[in-house]
Amino acid sequence: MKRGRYSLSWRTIRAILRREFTDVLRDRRSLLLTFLYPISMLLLYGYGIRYDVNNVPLTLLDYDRSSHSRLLAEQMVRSGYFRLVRVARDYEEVQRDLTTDASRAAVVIPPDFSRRLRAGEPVAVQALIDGADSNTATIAQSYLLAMVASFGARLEVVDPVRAGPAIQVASRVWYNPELLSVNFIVPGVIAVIMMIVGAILTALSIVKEKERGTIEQILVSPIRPLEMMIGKIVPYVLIALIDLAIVITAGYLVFGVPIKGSLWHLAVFSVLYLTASLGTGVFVSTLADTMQSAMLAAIFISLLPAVLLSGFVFPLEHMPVGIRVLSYFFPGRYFVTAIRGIYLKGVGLEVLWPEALMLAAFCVGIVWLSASRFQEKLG
Amino acid sequence: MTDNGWAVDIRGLTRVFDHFVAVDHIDLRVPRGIVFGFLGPNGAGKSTTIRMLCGILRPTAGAGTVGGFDLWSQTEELKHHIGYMSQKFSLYEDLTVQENLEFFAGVYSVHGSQRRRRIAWALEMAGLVGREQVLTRELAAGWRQRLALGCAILHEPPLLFLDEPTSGVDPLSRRRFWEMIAELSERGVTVFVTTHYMDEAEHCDELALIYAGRVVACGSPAQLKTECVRHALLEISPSDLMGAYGLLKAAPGVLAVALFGDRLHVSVSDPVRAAETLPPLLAQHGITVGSVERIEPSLEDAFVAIIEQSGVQER
Repeated sequence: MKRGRYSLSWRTIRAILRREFTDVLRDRRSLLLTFLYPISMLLLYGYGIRYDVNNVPLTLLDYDRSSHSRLLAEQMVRSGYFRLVRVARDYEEVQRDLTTDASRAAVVIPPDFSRRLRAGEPVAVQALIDGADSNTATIAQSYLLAMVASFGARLEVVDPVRAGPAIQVASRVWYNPELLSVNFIVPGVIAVIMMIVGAILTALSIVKEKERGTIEQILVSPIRPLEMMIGKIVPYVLIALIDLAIVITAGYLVFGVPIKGSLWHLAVFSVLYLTASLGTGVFVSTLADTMQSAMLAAIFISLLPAVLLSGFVFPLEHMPVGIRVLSYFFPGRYFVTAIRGIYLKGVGLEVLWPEALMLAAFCVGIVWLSASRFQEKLG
Repeated sequence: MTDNGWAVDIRGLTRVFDHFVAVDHIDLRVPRGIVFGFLGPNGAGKSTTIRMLCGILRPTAGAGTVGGFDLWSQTEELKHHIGYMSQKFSLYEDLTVQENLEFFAGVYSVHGSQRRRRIAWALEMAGLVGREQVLTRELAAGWRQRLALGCAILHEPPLLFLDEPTSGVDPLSRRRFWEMIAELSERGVTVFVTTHYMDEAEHCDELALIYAGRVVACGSPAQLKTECVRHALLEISPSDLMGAYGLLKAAPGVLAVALFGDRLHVSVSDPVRAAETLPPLLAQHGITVGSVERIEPSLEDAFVAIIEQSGVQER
């Protein structure tokens, strides 16, 4: 029964697959978790992490006291983004509110506001925004900007704490005009879920064999490392694809986030990214001997980069250079960039080919590395 | 594959782990069709040897054939021809008895009518008929071991390696297990089994004793007992075991003393004289002697003698 090094036995693979599926299907609790997880993540991130800002406490100092200035104030409050905590009598009150955290933003309308508006002269409204929470500050600023601009006025931003230069308006407003962060979250959740299923579950399933000692019986059998790897990976490919469908559907039904771009391009990137995460999973399995250490290693190598270094939660542009450079070595940033492009801007491979190339390169690297290590450990 | 008549024929097998020589140049020849016992205390190198013979662990040095396949170049082919049961239970605990058997049948490409026949045979042999749907995790240790053996022989390997198959199993199950081994042996299967139970060793056709990584003796149980214990053995039960042990070691005419439970086995060159002189010697030191009896050497006596004669140091 001489077989070539890479020849595979379908019967052997089928036996491994059947066992894996029995294993996955028998454990009802973790099976349920596998499918509930993406939904709960979506709900958690969708409702928990919000980049949009509501009810920011606002102090107003109106030197003008005209119908125009009242209209502007009313608009700010009615938008729901701001909550008026005080109409200040003088500048000192404004400063006190900001320093005592009674309010996070203040708007100062100059005395000649309505006169200049009527005369068609340029007019500036001063906005003071607490920059301590830069995210809120950025967004509050862009809301104010939009509202003041609708009056044809100019906004002058001052950060009362840092007193630095005005904060740049985030470019994401262009593609997410309602500033709804759920649109932004759904693609990120896809990246994280696929990493969890692809890398963590795959690594755990392989390391489980080491921990339980079942690997002994596998090693002594004629099973080839490649057959073992295929048998271990296929179930999680299926689960990851089902999870992908769940997130896309739930994103659309629950949060009303449609895919602007092509589903096919989304599929191409998902397959690339899934390959990358499976490769990472197999790689992790060659590092760890217990499920606990596999879990830790997988979190460090796959999950944390997918959350932190992908631009999913924290914008990469705001990170220190070192960390930004580090992010280029993980697949998350390419995938999140690409999938956001497809989701929000409706662009496809014609624009995102550099991301596709980088992902493909990562896949080739990690698959080669993990397969050779797996072969070495098992062969 | 070269048929040289030996199930196992290796020379100079060595394995070094980080400067620790686990197996030190051992030579083994196991004829086909016998039950071969590989004996030794824990840590002597039994499992390391068996893992090398099964092709799981690469030897540091050595040459030879296992089942007629070259130890170095034919490990893949070898895997189809051997069955292996590891020391630690290594079946899938979350699968049922039937599912485990089906899995290993698939892995060894046992299919069609053969598959059903062999699974039925393994179930019958392991006494697990009627428990096919029980989860393996819920089986008692003895049943598990028999299932593990059943899984290891589904593909009817001519050579079977069992690494401490009965450790942690109750005596009744142990006996039952050895009946299975005997049955397989009658069918012509060569069984290579490691153990540290002396009573189990008596069931083997041939034995090799490994101590501190070296094979210190080979032969049938009877051979080992008669050849290795050249002197007469006295069994003494003193009131102070350790005190007597020290005194007897230094006594004239005493070659060796070994502890056996609450008694001492003393090798002497002249048993009649020793039976007369030793009790008074102990009495001088206030130790009373219950009985002094001349006994036939057991395998354990043989091994104590072999190890003392071999001069291999414990590690």
